[in-house]
Amino acid sequence: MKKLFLCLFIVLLFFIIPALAAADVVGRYVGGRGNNVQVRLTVSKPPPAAFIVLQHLPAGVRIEAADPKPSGFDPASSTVKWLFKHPRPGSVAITMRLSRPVSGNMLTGEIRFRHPGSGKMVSRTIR
Amino acid sequence: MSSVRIDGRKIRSLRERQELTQLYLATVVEVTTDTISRWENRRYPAIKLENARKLAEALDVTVDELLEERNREPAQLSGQEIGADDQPVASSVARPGPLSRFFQQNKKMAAAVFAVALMALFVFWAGSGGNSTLIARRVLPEHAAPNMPFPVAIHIEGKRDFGSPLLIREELIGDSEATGQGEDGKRKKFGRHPRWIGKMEDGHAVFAYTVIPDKGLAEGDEIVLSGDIVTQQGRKEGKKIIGPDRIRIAPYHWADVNGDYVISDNEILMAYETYSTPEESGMDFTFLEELWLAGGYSWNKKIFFFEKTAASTGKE
Repeated sequence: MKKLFLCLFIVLLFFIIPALAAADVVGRYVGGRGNNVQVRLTVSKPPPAAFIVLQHLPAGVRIEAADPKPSGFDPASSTVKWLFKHPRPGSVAITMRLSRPVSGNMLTGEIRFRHPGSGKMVSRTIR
Repeated sequence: MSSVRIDGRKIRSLRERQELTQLYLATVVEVTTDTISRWENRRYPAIKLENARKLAEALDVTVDELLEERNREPAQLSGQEIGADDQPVASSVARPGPLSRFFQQNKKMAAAVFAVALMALFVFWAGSGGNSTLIARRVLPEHAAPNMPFPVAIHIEGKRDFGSPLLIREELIGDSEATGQGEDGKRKKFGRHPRWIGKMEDGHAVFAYTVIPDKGLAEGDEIVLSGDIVTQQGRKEGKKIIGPDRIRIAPYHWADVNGDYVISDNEILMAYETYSTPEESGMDFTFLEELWLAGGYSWNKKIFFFEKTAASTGKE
């Protein structure tokens, strides 16, 4: 009986838990110059059905252009929003041109998605 | 290869009695809908015996029941008499071949071969999966507002190698109208009887359609949904679609799960997760995205429409 439980535990440890943990979307700021900012997003397998990227802008900074085009802008919180639908595993980049140069430590961003395994809401800080 | 003359009128009658489309038969027999139409419109068309068998299976009758009354024996026909989709064939079954003669002389051997063939057929049937291996689960929101469309998704799960065509038959009870993607890829009105014919890929398929509740429905009314999934194997009975079977009329957007007049990040992500498909064959989410970005919405009961608001103001 003990052996059976041990086997089950090993199965959980090596197969199920890593499979659930694998699904992820992470983002980081990569080299930008002056007013230009780039966020590199990496989508793990299995991908979520959709995810949201929130980019908070420092006071007095506007976004002049972005690729892909943002889904919307919330002036109250000065936040730009992107909604990515049916993403494929791999990398995707968001490039932004801001109204004035901003140092890396002034930028804060967030990724939100529902974990495809557990259905729980996950929030990741863009670093 | 043999060919037989079938009774076109009987084919049409059997098909209509069972509320099957020509597309369904065409998918099962693996011919075009034009061919099915031609078979039905000719009095006694000649078709391949193999196709007659598939047709009989799809209509849940024996091949014999499909044949022309006067000709219940496989016919000997010239190529010109056979439908355009069938290859010209010449056949002769009048004289038993050497194999038949052998079995006639060795009846015990024939019985054993028959038993083995029957067993093989059973094993094949069990392996390929009858209706029992299929599960069709309906997913729909808890509430929807009058005149505002809401999505319904039927998720079909089965064995990965299940290659037979599937037919989904849904019925809506309550003043409403369903629309979805037709066989030609264009938007199609289903009325209160959404239908879908297709095959699973890797053991999975989704049939998504949209329902618009009538303006006359009042808060608290319900729309009831029922349906079944039909396969070649389980032609007669169908298998009930499981999952929620009713939706309540309420002045909230269907994606606003907690009814707070705000489409939150979690709610829009959940909507995509549950009802959208990469092929965008189901619901149009443009308006939902607008409500999410607006931050709030209200229900205008005079025009039966949701209006965007900066903050949630609720019911008018």
